[in-house]
Amino acid sequence: MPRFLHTADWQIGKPFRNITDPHKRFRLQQQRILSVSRIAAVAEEHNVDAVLVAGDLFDSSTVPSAVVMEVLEVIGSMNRPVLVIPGNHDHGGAGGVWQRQDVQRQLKERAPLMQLLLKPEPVLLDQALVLPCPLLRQRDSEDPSAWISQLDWQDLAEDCPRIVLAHGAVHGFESTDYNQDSAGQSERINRIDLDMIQHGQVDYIALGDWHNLKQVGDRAWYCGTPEPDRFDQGDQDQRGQVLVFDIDRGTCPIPKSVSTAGLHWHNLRVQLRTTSDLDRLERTLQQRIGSRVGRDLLRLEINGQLSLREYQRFDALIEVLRTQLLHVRIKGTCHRRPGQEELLAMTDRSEDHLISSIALQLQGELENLELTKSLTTEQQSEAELIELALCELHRLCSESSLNN
Amino acid sequence: MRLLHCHLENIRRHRFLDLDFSPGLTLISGANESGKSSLVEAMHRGLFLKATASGSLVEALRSNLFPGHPLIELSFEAKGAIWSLSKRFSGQSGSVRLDGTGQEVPLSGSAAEELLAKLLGVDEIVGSRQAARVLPSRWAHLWVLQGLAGQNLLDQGPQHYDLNGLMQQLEQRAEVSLQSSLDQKVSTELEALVEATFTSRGVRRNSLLWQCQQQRERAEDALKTAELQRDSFESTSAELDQLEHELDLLTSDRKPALKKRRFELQTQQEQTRQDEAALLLYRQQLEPLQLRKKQLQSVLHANNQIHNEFLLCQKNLEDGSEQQTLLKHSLSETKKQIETTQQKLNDLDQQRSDWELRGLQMRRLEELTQLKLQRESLQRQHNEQQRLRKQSQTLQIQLDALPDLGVAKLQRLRDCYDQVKACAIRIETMASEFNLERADQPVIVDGFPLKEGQKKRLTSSFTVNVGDGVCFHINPGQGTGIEELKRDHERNLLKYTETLKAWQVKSLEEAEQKINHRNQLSQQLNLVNEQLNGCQDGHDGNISLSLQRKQLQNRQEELEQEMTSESELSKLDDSLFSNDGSLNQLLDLDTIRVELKRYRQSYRTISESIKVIKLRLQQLHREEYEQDKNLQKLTLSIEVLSAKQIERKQHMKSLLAEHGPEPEIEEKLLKLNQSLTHLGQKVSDLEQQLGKQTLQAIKSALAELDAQEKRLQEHLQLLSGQRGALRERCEGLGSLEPYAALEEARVNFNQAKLEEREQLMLAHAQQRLLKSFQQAQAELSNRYTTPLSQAICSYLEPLLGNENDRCHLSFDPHDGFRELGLRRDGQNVQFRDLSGGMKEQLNGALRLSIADALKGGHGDCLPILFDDAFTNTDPDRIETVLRMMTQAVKRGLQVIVLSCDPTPYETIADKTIYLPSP
Repeated sequence: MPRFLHTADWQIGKPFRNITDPHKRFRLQQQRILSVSRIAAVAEEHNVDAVLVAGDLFDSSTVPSAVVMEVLEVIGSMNRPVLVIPGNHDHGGAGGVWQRQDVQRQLKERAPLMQLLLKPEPVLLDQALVLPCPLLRQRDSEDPSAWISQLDWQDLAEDCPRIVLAHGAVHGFESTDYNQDSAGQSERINRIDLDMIQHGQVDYIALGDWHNLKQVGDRAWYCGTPEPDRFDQGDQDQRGQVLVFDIDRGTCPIPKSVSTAGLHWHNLRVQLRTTSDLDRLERTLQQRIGSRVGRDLLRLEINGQLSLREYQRFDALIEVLRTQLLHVRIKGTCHRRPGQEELLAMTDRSEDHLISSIALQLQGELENLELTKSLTTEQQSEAELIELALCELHRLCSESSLNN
Repeated sequence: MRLLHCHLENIRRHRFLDLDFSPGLTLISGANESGKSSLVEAMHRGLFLKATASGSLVEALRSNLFPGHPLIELSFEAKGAIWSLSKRFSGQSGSVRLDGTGQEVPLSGSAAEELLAKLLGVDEIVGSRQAARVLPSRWAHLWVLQGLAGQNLLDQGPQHYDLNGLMQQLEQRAEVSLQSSLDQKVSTELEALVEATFTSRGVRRNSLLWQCQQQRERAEDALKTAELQRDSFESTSAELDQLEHELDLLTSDRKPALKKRRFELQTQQEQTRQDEAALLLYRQQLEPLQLRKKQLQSVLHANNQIHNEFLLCQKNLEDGSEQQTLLKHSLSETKKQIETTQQKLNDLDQQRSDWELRGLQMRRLEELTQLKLQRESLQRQHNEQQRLRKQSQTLQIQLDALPDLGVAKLQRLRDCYDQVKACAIRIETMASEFNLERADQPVIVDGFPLKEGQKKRLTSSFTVNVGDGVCFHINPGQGTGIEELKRDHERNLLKYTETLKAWQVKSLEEAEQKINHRNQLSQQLNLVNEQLNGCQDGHDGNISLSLQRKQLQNRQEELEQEMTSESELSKLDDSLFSNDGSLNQLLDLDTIRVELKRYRQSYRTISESIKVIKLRLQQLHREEYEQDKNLQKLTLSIEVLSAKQIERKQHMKSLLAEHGPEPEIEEKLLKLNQSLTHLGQKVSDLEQQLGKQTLQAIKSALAELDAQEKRLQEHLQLLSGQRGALRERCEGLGSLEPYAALEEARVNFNQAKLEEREQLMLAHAQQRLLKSFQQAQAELSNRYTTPLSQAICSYLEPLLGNENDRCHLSFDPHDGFRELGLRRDGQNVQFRDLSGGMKEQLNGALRLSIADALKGGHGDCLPILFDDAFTNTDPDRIETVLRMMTQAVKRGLQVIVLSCDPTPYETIADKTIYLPSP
């Protein structure tokens, strides 16, 4: 029974410019190429007949030549057919990466077994018939798989398993590319109508574009990206794998997921109110990351409120993480407000009449605001302002006292 | 701090000046220009200006009278010690020395100045650079310099009255601490923080917030640029894609279509070429046939033509001979007419010459008659001339007989007569009339007795005797001029009578008549002469008149001669001529003229007739000539025609011999026509087959195709050029990694936005805190103003009439004390609205109060100085001023008053110093 490896969305050359440290950025970029090596290893291990890449092999048309060279070298090393269709990131039209002369030259030299499928026409392999749906534009309002419904199935080999290779959203399930502008998502582009091509005529639909593993029909699968490139959107997200499946004409293949990820993307949400919350956070991080350096990325969504001292501790913790991890992104806000003792240090000053009276006044105002159940945006920023004023007063008092 | 002694050297008008101050009130009195203000200024600069200072402030101290640098020595009590300060202002080399009790060695230079500043409670002793700005504010709250008493001290700013020191002293006095040092410190720091971030107009340049804003703006711009670049890259890619598509379409569709068309055209061209060759062949066969046909047709045609010509010639000949006969007849007719006409002309000629002769004679008769008339007229003129000459001579004789008296002479005679008369009248007026009305004695005048009632008129002196005893000698006209007058009278009279005599007249009137008569004669003479001249002008004078008469005579005789000789020739009977044929000379001129006119008329008529007949004769001659010519021509043409006729006959014979008879030729022609039609059909069939697809059309279609292919090629080249450019652009834009750049720009922008927001929040929080501090401090301000205004009120008490009247002022932690004024009868009166005197007093009280408050920091004493500070204060109020000063001294302050009018202060002065008058 023929065996294939289904993968997509390698997005080689993704710039990761949100990582400011160039060294760390390079490591992230490098990991994507390394993941291709891991795919080669999986192909070898499972002895697949061919590797199917369902679009977005490259991240854009402007991938540096050196990177192109490197990844084609790895593909060439697979030593088996690698069938690639262009996706929306690496569309096959003019101005796309595949039209670049250096890419075409490298392709011939380094990966002679790789087949770039730019035309919507059946491709007969020894073991199967591949029906590619390449994207020739970044955004196309036409269904790239429309040609398949026009096919005269009688003309095709009878007993050869049929595999559709396509890239894009499908009816009934739309991927959300949260790196893109939200405006681009509402357009109905690169949309594949699965109903038009099934009906028992095809045996497997290998899809790309959605970065998580997802079955969208009895024979249609998104394989997800082999190397995660963003923080997950929940526990359901399965990233960092490829699918390996055996296929015969008329059977329903059951693909097997094989992990290929090299980096760990953590997405945590914590509420910080007390010292014990901070303790708990530290424990969680210890469990998930431990002492590992340079292989993790963390997104931390925070809320709550900490005293100045506690906040200082939190700050220090994040500072350490920033050094240790490839990237730390903090979302949300944790309020910073003088704690009870810190507040007393300001209000309980018989000598410094002005300071104590002002601290009391601010605190009173803040408490009054917080009595209100739902704060308006203005009230919220007012509260934030008062909070900050209290922190500032505390800082000035401490500094001046220390100087004295 | 208390001043003890002052020593000045070389300061303006002071060579040396030594003063000792009283601990209480010192009065320094001196007239104007005695150096009071110099003293004050010297002390002030000595205390607050560095010894090394230079510039106008130091120069102003310098004396014009004495050489040497200004030297100021002061001794004072401060911080529990007695200090002696000595400063010599000599520019950069200026020296200072400060020695105090308990000091081991006197200080000098900057150390001395620093200690001095500390003793005086100021930040520093000022150098030349700040002097102009800072010096006036030093001790402005203690020393009222001349002319400044009316200015509001508080308006000049906190630095003029040591606000910080004042607040410190006032706080020390307060029951509870108003503001701790930490409060103050935090407040100051906040102020600095806010000021570092904001200016009155917005965010301060180069502040942290400003930098964040700039950073954010830059990031925003960068983001926009990145977006633009991304869009540009994408649009270029799309353009490239479209171009590729077009190129593909052109090479895959358009190019083969053109190729196919070319093949079709070339096939057509070959076929057409073959057809055209066949056509050419047929046309070549047609040509000789057509030539033969033409030949036969021409023979036939020539035959016909000659036959026709022969017939025509025959007819012409007949016509010619008929015409000839007619012409001959008409010629003889014409000749006859010529003869008749010639005869008529000769008759008329004869008639005319007769008329001519008669006319000549009549003209002579006319002339003769005219001559006779002229002769008669000349005779009459001659007679008239003779008569006029005679008359003229008579008149001349008469005229010569009269004396030649001009008008001027007459005038002189008149003048002479007038003078005679005038003399007589004057003599008359001078005459005395002697009237004897009554006399009882004999009266004798000039020896002639006068009777009663007798009158005597006398013009010369005379003697009157009355009786015997009385004798008058009377001189009329005073007896002088009368004699002379008489002489004049006689002389004029003589002249007059002589003139009359000369003129042979008896009186003036007669003379005038004579002159008039002479004038009339003269006029008559002129008239006659003019007439005479007129006669002569008309006839070239007398001599020519006779000559003319003679000429006329001759001519008359000549004419009569001619007439008699010619009269025989005239055969015409006429009334003009007498029976013997001679001219009737008795006829008058008019009749002759009428007759002459009639003859002329008849003559003209005959001449006209002759002219007409001559013309007719000429015409007839011409006609005769013409007819003659025509006749000759006709004869000639008849001869020519006869010759032609013979020639044609021969030609016809030869044709027949050559080509046979006409029907034979016609048959041949018919056969030839049939073969021609057959060939023609073949040619037209071929031509139709070729139709419009001529070789030319195909060629032009091919040329068009070439052009199209060329255009296509050019277009392809253009497109491929554009493709190259677009690819290059794509690569160029791509090399900038637009997506990556956009991602980075977005991250940077978000980061910058976040940082800006944080910084802005922090700045607002600081502002908020500062506001709270300022509010709290403002609430404290009353605690500062109350003690000060109470102190002022205590000084001013006598002036405040009402119980509720008081001084008021406000306090702002930043700007210090403000709004100084008085509250009177429930109304606030600002300082600027007070009277001059009141301003001085309130100023005095304010300074004393401030010194009172401040003295705690200066060993419970401060010197207050008033330099002519109450010049506007009236004598009543000066009492209050004195009381204020006394009170101040009581409270431990040292008061120094400088005045040109020391009297009011002498009573309270502890020490009075009189400065010598200038």
